[in-house]
Amino acid sequence: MDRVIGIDLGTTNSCVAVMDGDEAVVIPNRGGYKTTPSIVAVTEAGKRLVGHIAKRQSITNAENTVAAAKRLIGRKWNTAPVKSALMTCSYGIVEGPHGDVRIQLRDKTYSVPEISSMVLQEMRVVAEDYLGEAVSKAVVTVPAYFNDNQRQATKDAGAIAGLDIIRIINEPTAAALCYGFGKGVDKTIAVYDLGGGTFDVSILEIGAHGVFKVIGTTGDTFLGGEDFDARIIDWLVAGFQDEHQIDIRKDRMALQRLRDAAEKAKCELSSVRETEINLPFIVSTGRNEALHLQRSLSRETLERLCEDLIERTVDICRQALVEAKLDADEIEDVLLVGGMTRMPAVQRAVTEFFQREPNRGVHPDEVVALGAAIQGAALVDDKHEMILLDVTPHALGIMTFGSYFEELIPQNTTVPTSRAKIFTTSRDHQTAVKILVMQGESKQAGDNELLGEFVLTGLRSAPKGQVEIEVTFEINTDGIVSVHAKDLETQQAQSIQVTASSGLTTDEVQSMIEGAKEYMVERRTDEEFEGAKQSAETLLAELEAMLPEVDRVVGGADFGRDAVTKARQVIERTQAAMDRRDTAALKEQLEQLARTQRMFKGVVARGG
Amino acid sequence: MSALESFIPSLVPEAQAQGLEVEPVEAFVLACIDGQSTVGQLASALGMAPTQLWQVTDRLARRGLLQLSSPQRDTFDAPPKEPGHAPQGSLEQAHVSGVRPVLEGRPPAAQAAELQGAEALELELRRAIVELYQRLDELDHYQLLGVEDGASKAEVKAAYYEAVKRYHPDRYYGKELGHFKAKLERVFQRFTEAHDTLTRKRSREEYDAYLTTLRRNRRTEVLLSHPAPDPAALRALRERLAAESLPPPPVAPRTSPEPPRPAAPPSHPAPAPPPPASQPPLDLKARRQALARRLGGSDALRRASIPPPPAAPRVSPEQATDALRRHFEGQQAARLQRQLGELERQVSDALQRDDPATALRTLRLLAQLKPEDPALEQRLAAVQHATDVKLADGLLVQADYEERNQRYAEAARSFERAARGKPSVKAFHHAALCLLKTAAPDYRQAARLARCAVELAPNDAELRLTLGRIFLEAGLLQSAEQELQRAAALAPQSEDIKLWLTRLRRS
Ligand SMILES: Nc1ncnc2c1ncn2[C@@H]1O[C@H](COP(=O)(O)OP(=O)(O)OP(=O)(O)O)[C@@H](O)[C@H]1O
Ligand SMILES: [Mg+2]
Repeated sequence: MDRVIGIDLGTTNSCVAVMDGDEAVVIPNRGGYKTTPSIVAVTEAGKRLVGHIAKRQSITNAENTVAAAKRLIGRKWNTAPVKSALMTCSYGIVEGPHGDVRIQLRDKTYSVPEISSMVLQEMRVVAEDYLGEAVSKAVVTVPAYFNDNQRQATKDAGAIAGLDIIRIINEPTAAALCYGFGKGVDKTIAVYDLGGGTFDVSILEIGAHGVFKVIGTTGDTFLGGEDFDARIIDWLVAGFQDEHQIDIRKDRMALQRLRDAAEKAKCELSSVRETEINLPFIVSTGRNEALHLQRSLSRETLERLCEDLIERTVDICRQALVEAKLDADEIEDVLLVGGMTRMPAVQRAVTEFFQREPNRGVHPDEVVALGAAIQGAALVDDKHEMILLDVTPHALGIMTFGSYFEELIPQNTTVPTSRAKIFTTSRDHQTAVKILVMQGESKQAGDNELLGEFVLTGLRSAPKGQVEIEVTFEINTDGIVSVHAKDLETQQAQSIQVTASSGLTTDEVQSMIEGAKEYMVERRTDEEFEGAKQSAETLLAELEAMLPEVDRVVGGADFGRDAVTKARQVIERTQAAMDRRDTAALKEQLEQLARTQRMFKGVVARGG
Repeated sequence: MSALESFIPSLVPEAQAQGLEVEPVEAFVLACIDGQSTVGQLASALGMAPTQLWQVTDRLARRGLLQLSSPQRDTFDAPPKEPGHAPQGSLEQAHVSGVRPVLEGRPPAAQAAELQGAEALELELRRAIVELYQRLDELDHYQLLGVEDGASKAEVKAAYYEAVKRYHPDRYYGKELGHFKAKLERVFQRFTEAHDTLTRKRSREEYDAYLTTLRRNRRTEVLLSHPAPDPAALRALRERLAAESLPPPPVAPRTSPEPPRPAAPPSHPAPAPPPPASQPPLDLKARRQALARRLGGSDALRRASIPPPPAAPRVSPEQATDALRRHFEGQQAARLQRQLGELERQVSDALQRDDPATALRTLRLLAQLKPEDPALEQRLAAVQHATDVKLADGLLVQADYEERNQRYAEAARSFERAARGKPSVKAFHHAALCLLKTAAPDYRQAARLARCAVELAPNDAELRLTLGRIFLEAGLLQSAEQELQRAAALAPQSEDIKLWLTRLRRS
């Protein structure tokens, strides 16, 4: 039986977990951290960095460091979230060939799924290192409110990373799984998930026998910790502007420093009442004068700055209850998920709204990955008796005459499901109809997300309204949407599976998969070389430092001259191997270097 | 119900009654046997005590003139919740549990070919899936989940969770499911629909009301389409009559013209207590013999206790027989009279309760007992009409629910039938609208319905719009133009009408 890992691919942080016996455990990365920043960078040398290393260099290499790529995944170029990202991102965003979004890093453009695939690949490597075996299957989580394009793009990211994503599940649902799995819970609960980039609320019924049934889910895929940070940045920028009449946002490095400082301050204010923000030499005025930014921020001020954001989450909670047809007092437990729920004002708002203390038993950063691992195990292993019944977060339908959206599957319908409706032609002698498959809540088709389209041809030529076309929507257990259209008269039929609209064509995904594979190999040898190079450089530096002294002590003797010459040769050969990036040769030279170093040390010690 | 009473006597086709000695009462009973009514039903229709009738039929059966077939669970056997209220010949009471939908006693519906394609699943499971899949439309939510009509929310949930664990495709993840995957998904969807409907207060109330209406409507429709006496009513009547505990009739001809003696002395054993209904009716013969023995016994007992008749003036045997028949007929007539009175009262009661269906049923019974009574015929017609109207109201409620739940074909039919019983703008209009939303609508019928609505309310723009739309969709452009223009004249502001007019112009 294949092992399935669970990955929480977060906006800010990612986390990987696996089932160990009857319990899910989080896998720490090489640095010992249980979460890994979802940050990707490309160095000057063209090297890809992921996670903590990428985060560490994000200030000095802001233009080539991508954070929060999840906010862009599966989005179309000309949408509001992308416009807003354009304004605030320190890296370059350009339009892709299919109206999608591409990210410019140095001389290459990357699709968003490609960037996310680097994070997924990193998580996969973390798991493989820990398990000591190859991993090819994963359950990956997405915000419940993600639409189908966003889900599809996430799947593409998995494919590029060489991972078979056997199921995409919703983050709040995963959290509930972790909370209730194997504990005989029988309750109606709410999950409040405020992460770095997205906000979700889900209401679930957990039944005895291990059935988890989502009743309803709502959210906002553009509301999270990043928006809180942005409020602090605005406040800092405005203050600086007042004082110095300079917009520090213009400087990318300064902006990145502001971003870091804002987040740090926000987190600190969860435990202290007041904090100092100190950014020396933030900009230079051009008159050879550097300016510092120094301000103190109180918890009260932060709460005032973010009041409306919290209020928005509460409104969404209210909406979730209405849709689930429940009252707040029918909720028997409330889970807090996501790093932002550590903020006291958030906890207060949740407590007040649900009129109960939220559950403190789950780890806000880890539950989601744990839940994903549980779902993975339950699918492949009959031993775990657990069934997850999730809902479709958005309505599905087609565009009808006059650009109206005609809904077929309503929001919050339990999947798998299917619905059919009859439509007619809208023009006389119309012999083909175009079925535009859409997702969203607006009556206006244009406001909704286009998932795919196809054409049904060969209709009888007749006055409009006479030809009947039955359109059937189906969402199967794997969450795949398929749409069939049938001419009821001729039984002519046409259908599509909505799978390829993440902004990437199948061919593109294929070539990216190839690219990533090469990179995997390259990266492994690279690491070896880099390691050898680092050791060599250290040794070289030491040898160079000792050479004059060695020369002085043994220079007179023949054997001494020989030794020095030999040492020089070793140094040259090492240098050459480094230049050729020849790992094998370099490793060989390393041994020589080490021997030379031992000898030199002895000489210096005796001679001194 | 007593098992004896539920036997159904029928004539033995090859038996020749002519030339055989039959008593008048036997002849009367023979004439009334229709091969459908049970002993109990016949007894109440004939105004005899069930025991008495049983005795007669038993005697006739032993002489080979009729046969008694064992009772079946027949259509009027009501579901446990609502005695006498199940629609006839439909809604089988099979308890299809969500967990074990294997329907005992049903021929295996699943064909061998359908059971192939997912050998990883156990055969029993495959069979269950296929059978359940085939019956999805015919089962109501309660039957599907295998719970009682009044089941609590917790019971519904428990049944649903069990079903989920058996039928959710994820239970069989990684197994080759073939066509079973789609079937499982469909079955699961139907279970979820049942669960979601029954666990939300509002939707359950609506559904229950719908189900009650639906059942009542079906019953009334059956009543209206089969003018035979309603077995349930017959049974009710029988029970009431049995409660009166009529004295047993004379068992042998007596030569005395005197009125019969008062009721049997206390030592006389009461009629055999009815055996429990659940007892299998296989020991028919044994029971029959036991009954005969008991009856024989009681006879002996009575004979022993009855003092010898006083010496009476001699009468001729003809006179004696005549007197006996007169006496018997007089008694019969009195009982009939009493019954007619009782039925009359029931009719007026029912009418007062605004339950014309019951009144109709009872009147039909009356008509059976009092044939060719013109006044009764008239009342029958009037009550029949009242029933039609009442049914129309019920159908309207049913249709509303069906329309709300997007079951347009059913809704169109219900609206149309409602309109037949009680013509109304709404019924006609919605029948037409729903028809338009069905697959391959009958435009002629839709137009007819819409036109009826228009006739009832000629100044309603919306109705004309509907009619115009039907014409347009049916390709009758001129008529469409005419109707839409009229609609526009009636409601010049309506955006909807304008939109349709532009569509018309473009075609
Ligand atoms: N102590 C704290 N106080 C306030 N905010 C915090 C604290 N710790 C972390 N956060 C914030 O939580 C956010 C990250 O949360 P989390 O790791 O749950 O998000 P994510 O899973 O990456 O994002 P998402 O689920 O939206 O994709 C960041 O904005 C971070 O600043
Ligand atoms: Mg998260």
